[in-house]
Amino acid sequence: MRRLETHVDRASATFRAYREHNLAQAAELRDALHRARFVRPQRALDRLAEQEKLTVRGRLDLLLDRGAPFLELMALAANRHYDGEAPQALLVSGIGVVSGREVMIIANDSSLKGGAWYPITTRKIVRALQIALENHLPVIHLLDSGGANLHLQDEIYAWAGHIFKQQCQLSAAGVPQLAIVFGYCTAGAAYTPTLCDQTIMVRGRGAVFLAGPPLVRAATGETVSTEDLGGADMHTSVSGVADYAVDSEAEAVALARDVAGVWPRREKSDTDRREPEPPFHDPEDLYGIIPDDVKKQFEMREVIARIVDGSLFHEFKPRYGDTMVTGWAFIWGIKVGILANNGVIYSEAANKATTFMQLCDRDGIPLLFLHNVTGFMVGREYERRGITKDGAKMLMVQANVTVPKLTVLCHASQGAGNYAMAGRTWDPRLLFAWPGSRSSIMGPEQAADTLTEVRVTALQRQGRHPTDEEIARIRTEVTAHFEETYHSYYLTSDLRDDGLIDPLDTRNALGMALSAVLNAPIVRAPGGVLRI
Amino acid sequence: MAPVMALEIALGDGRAHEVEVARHGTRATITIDGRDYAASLGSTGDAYELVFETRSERMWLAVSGDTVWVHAFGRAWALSLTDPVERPAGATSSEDLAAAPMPGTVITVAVEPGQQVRKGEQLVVIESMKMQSEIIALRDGVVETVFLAVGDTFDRGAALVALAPLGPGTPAQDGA
Repeated sequence: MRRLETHVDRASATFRAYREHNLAQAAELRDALHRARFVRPQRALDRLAEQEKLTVRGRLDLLLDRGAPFLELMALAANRHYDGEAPQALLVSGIGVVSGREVMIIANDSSLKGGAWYPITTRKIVRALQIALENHLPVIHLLDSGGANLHLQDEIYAWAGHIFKQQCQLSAAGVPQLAIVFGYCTAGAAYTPTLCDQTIMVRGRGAVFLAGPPLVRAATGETVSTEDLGGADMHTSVSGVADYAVDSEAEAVALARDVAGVWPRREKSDTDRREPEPPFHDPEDLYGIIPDDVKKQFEMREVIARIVDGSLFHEFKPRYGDTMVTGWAFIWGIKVGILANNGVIYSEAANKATTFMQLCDRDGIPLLFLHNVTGFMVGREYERRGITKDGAKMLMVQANVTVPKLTVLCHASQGAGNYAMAGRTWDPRLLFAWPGSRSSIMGPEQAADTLTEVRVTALQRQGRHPTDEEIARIRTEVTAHFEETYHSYYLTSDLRDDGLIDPLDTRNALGMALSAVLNAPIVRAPGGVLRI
Repeated sequence: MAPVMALEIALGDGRAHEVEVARHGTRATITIDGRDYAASLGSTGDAYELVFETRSERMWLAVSGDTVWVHAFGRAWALSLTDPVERPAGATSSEDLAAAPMPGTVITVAVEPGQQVRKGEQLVVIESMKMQSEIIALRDGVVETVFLAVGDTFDRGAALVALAPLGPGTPAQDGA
């Protein structure tokens, strides 16, 4: 491996302008995360205190190993949905360390709306469980939710069934699950603690039942107290639905740490490793490298040099298909095969990527995709040379590799380029996005042109002839809508990624992600590597 | 057969030497710019014992980034390796012409004929496939021709900006 050279000029006006722009983006992200995690109305915090409940963050502070990292996932879920009334979709998820084990945390936030589920809450739980299942991460559920938001029930119900099925699959895959019941688990939600291997309930607060006292009274006329119907003592001594009854939240969390400490410790998957070392080139430079506009190009090798150990990289086919950078490096001591865009994908670039993925798949090396792609090259020359055929090969191989895939949307991620580079729908194990990234079916200007034309033609068909002014207004409208929906904050709100990250945190996020994915065995695919 | 490595090594004076090393155990035949020398290297504690032809020297190594510092022969030498992959492939005439890497449209033109430019300076910005790319000068020079104007479209490989050629023996730009 060779140390990547840098050609960054820190004194240049461009570098300084980009740096200012990206520092502002990073500050905006920090602020958005802080608000989503911690800022709640005083009355909401007072209500929790009255019930002798901790905030979800307070519970996590007690649960997670002190000093160990916590990779929070989907932290800005629902930030652009439901008028902002459900920060984080009222659920915290992430990969943390409990009693020395890497685990998936799924924790309700009952500070608002009683921790009720929104559709995005449901999908966030499904995604967290999918990550746990694919990477064999034990799950700790911290349950405290009023249940589904009934006026949004149809979309919630469409997804919720996945949760319980995934819990069953986790169990069969040999992945432990533990629940702490801090509040009510009513109706379908009662199955989450019950499907776990072990369940802890807090006396006087936690309850598990298919229907609460009011519904029981309405249905059968029976009058019964919450504790008697589904409280901690009843379930741990009579029904056997739960296993441990405790008097306080702190006690419940301490016991959970004990339970996790008894879980089997599994060997991680065997991959090439070496002693980690920090990048040789300063990661802070990333702020000055990433352009202030998603249309502006930049050199992806400069990014790789600030993410990988020692800035050391062995580039594969450096002189072929140069809009696709491929090669091997180590991140936090774990070997990865990197595919990074340096522009639009041509046939040569696609073929190089395809061969490289086959090589890594054969050798059991996890893949990392770094996106700055506006799609595959268009035009007569390229169609005649079968650009779609080469794209199809790339998709075919990428979809079917068995090594773990990780993806970062660094800048543009558009069209089929997003698919070929293991975008969200191609199920990379984890996918992060930088705040400046934008992702859509095509570029906003092209989309605005097309949509404006369609609307103008429709008006003309009705016998109306829009003036230039009206056409300009239509164009402004469609552009605004497009720009809203291809924005990173909107996409992360709708869970199209596992989280927005500050570019400076990319190396650490990937290091934790790699460590997590190696909990599941890497099954090598048979088959030779094609030089296409 | 002993493995042979061909390296290009620049010593303190900056001049690159062709070096080949053929190892036979701890001994080696070192070919520097075509001439063979017999050498051997052994480890002695924190240092190395280098025998080169008839001379014997102790030497110490320190690695910093891509530079290896060698302390031997009474002084320290900075030794840098030139990666054969990264070595420019000869022909400087291609640096005279900035050509389009892909078909597209001219967005801005930053220079005009007669203008002095520095290596790395922006010449034009092109847009293609929703991406804007800066086309930069590959060497210091004087702009001879700007082939296109803002809004013009072009094919892949089209000439965008030409720099006045450097004649043989033309002195480097020194502001004259």
